[in-house]
Amino acid sequence: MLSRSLRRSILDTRIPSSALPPTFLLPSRARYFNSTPQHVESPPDSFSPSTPASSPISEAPSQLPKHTQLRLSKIPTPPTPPPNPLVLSAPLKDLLPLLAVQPSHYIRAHIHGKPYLATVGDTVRLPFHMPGVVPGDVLRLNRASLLGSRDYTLKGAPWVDERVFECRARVLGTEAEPMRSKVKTKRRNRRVKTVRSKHKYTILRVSELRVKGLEEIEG
Amino acid sequence: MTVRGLKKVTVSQNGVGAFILQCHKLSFHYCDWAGSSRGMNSFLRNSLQRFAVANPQIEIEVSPRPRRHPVIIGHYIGGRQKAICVRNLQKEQIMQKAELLRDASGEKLKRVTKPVKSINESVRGVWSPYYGGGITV
Amino acid sequence: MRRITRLGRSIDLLRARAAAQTPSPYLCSACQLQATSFSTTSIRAARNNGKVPFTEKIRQRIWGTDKPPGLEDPYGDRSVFDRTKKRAKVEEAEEREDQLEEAKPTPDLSTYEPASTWDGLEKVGGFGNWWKENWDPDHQFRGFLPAEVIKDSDEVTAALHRAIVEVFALQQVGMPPKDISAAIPGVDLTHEVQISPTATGATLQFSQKASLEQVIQSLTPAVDDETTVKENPTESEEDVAADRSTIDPLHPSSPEVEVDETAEKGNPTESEEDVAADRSTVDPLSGSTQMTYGELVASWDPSWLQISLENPEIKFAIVKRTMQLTGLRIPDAAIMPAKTVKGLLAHLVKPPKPRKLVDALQQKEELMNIPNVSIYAKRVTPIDKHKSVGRWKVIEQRLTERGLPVTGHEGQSHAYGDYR
Repeated sequence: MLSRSLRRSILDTRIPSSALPPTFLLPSRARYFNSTPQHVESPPDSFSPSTPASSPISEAPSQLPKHTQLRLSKIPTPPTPPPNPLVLSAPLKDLLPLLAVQPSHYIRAHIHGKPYLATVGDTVRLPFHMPGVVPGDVLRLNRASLLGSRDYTLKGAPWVDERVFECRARVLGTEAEPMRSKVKTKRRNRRVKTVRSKHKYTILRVSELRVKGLEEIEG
Repeated sequence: MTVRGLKKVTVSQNGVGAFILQCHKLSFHYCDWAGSSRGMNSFLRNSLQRFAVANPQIEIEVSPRPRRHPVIIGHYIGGRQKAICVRNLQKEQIMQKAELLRDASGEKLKRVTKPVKSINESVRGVWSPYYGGGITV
Repeated sequence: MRRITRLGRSIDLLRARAAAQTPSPYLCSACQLQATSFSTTSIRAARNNGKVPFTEKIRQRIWGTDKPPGLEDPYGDRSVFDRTKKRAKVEEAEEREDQLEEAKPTPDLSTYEPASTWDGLEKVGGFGNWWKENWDPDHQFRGFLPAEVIKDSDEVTAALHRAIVEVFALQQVGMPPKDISAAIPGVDLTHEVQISPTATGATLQFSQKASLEQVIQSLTPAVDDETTVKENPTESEEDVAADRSTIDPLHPSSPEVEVDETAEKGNPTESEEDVAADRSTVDPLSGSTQMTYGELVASWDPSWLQISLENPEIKFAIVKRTMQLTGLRIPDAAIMPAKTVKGLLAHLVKPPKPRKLVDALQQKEELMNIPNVSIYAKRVTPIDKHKSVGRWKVIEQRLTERGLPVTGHEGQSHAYGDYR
């Protein structure tokens, strides 16, 4: 459940156009080339703003036959807008602008439940190969347990609300380790078995981290 | 008057602003005669077009190399190269290898133990014992 | 376990029977058992030696008498085989009698001397003239398809065009299209004939050089149609007719057209040689315009490729004639799906398979048009890489300044020579 929601939210297409490279560098075409069904994205604009907060996408699968439902569940949908606007407590309202104006921030973002403490420009080597992404894709990290600066830290209980901040990471590519080989032997036996393993890891770079202002959150 | 170095304000990091793919060129070598190139030839015939259209930022060079096994060589920004011998592979496997070269950064493979690598200064600064009101002895 | 009694075994039953059949009082029963020959043939078969056939016996049973009415052998004597057998017997007997009669006057053997050598003796047996008739170099086998296969695609196209013109010309006259290959293909008269498809077939537009009659005449074998020739004799026709008059006595008014085609091919008579000579004289006349086949094909209206081949008779004739003209074999798999002339032509002039991968890639325009793809026909050498960045000129200049070899190692032997 966690991972699905994470993946759904991680693929956010709402990127400020200023952050985008020129179109000829965009590997958006490469994405269609990778024939994984996970990347069939529908732009969030296609949803009319008048749709109720509980989005029709979450309801639709229940009417479909089961095998279709399973298949549909793999397709990431844009993050559903939360039901009601976030209500901040009074001390948070006081302190959040102070946190936002600090020069640099750090975040403890969680991907598949694992924490990564990062600032803007850091590379994160995920301990797995993320399927269906190509270099240049932008992911939005929405699950954080800690968000802070030099003087202030916002702790989540257990998570910081995803509407408070924006954190994006870009897929740099796929890397591997040198092949590991483990020699296995049994006692009193000449037989030697060498187990080899070489895994692929997806590399991300945190490209954007921003604490939202009060107007942006509430309005 | 002492000479003062200019302090570097920012270091450009790929992907923070613009993103440039590290692999800038892939050269495919094949042999017309040898049987180990059969999969490669089929790849060049059938799949290369799709690959090239999907990755317009990579320069693709196809040239024969008679009497040699087929090879894909990736050329990376920074001058490094990675070569993969694709003898006796099927065209689907060759496609995987080409994608591997495309996704690679060009660096030598290293064992990484810490997941996050940073060149930034610590956000919270160095810890001091006087934080939090200090300790009265 | 219970033992099987001896008599219970099947083989013992047989033995017992055999023993019973030939009882001998001078042998003890044990010896009888051992001595009687063991045989699996039935007793009935043994009895048949009494010359009463089985069918006869059945009949006797049925009628209940020893001499039943009806045929002796109900299954014989009426069939064709039996009758012919009888006749053959009679004939044989007659022949023998004849031979005997002939042999009666015995030759005078008083002057007979046995030959000491085989010279002058009559040869008996062997193959006779069979080899002469069948394997003599004069009687070469000539197949329907010419030995030389036309490879040039334009030439093949022209041949197909000719075949179509001729088939439709035959159809126009009302002759069966299957007779298309009756005559040996001669000069191509159909170069300037234009074909245009219609709903039923095609219409031909003949030029001055080749009229319908001429085409038809070239198609009909040189036997019949004297009357038609005489009706409107042009100069060239007269020539041909003159040829025919020499041929005619060979085939005296035989109505069958295709009979002696191969035989005629087999021994080129004088007349045929004449025809050949005639053709050779005609050739330079027709070739005076000196068009290449490519220009010729281009000169035709391309709509002739749309002619329908739905009519199987027409299709067969066209295919047959094309094969005869070109020597190409057209397989069924290509004939069946061809609905128009274009489909047939597509099979005939198939572009050759590219031998190199580069050729195959360069045929793919989509691939060649992608801006980030560059395809080289030859290996990219280090010199090529230097050249591409404009460095090679400098390198070459420096090397020649120092007297070093620009490429290869030919200068190195001198360098080593100095050390010796």
